[in-house]
Amino acid sequence: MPQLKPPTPSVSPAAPAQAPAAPATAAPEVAQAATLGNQETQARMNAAPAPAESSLLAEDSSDAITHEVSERVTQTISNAPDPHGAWNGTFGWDSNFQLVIDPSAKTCTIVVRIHTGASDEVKAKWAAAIEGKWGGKYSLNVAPDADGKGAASYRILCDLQWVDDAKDAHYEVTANTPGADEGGRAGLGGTTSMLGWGTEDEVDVTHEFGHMMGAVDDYFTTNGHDHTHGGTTDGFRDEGGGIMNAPNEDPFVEHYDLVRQHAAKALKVDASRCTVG
Amino acid sequence: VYGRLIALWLACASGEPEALAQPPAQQESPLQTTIELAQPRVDSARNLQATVTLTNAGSEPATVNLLLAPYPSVAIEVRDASGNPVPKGPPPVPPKDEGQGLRTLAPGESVKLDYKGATLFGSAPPPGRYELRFRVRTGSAANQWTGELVSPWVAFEVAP
Repeated sequence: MPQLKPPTPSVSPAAPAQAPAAPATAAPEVAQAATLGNQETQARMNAAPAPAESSLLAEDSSDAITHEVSERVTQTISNAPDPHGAWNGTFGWDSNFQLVIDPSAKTCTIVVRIHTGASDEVKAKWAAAIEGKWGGKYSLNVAPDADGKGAASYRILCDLQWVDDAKDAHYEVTANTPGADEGGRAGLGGTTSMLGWGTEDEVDVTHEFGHMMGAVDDYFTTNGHDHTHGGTTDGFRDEGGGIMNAPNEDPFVEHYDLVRQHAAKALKVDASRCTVG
Repeated sequence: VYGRLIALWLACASGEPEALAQPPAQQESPLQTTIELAQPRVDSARNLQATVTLTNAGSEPATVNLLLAPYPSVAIEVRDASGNPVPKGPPPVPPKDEGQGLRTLAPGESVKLDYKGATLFGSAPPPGRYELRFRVRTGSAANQWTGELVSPWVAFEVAP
């Protein structure tokens, strides 16, 4: 089955000074949500210490470059039939993570710091599932500039870090015990949402983590892209649908698009030079 | 009669007068659906806590499909003071219906569903006045009640 390319996430930047032009295909409500996200994110940025970021180019230094990401992501789902009509609508969330680009090790690591009340055993299980699913699959490739310089390739890794203080976290995740929380019938292994993870789940959590790094869902019709292949598939949990459609599957390169955009910023190169593959 | 009174009360409470003028096309719900907030005023929407209670107000056992009920992004609707929908966090991967959500309630029996703002919202809404309600489509097979379980809207405020 041919794989449909997932849409580029609709995002708003952490700082208005870095704002890209709104996507030409963005629906008005998406643009409005993005504007709201700018304001909220800017307020958060004003209250928080400035993110650490090296001023050196990757090719000039062996020092790792760190880059904080905080973006509002929105998606609009349509054409979800009954009984999934509630999936239709516009959804929004904050994508928060840190990129650590190490020119010496040739790695680009997606770091997400999480505060949760889950046990160490559950945290270890979640981390293994997520890091294995999102890390080591692709590389961030930087094409040379006009002078033929600056080409590089960084293996994309994933590092889930657990923090004791919620103030240090990118996210607070509620640990759902199946049969106990949120109605006692919580999802696959207890996972109910991006921030409600099941203590017995090692599959759907990998999908929810994708949202944290900016990936949108690939259900039904999302942001104008038909994931039912003209009505020939369910539009969710489809074979070949990729992790944002069927959480047991692997990511597509498009799911790293926000990572790609911010890696370019961190490396101070034009995003058009950066690809994931 | 009792069921009709509940439906009438729910329609009034939900502020949808058109529901009074048009008889429901679907089968009348045997379930009374209510929603309560732990606190109507919170310093962050992430601290919101809501409890939905479904009670079989009929005289016969009622089987309903609560498969979608645990997922806050699809079971809870939120609107702002102007009536505009407030974006929630991304919805989960739709579950395959393999009967795991079926629940039979005896007459008078209730089931409670807890929801938290921390898992409902992907971005905390700004300070202001909002309303939320529970709304879930249920039933897809024989011997199940089919229709929408809808609670009245309940107001809350996110403090400035």
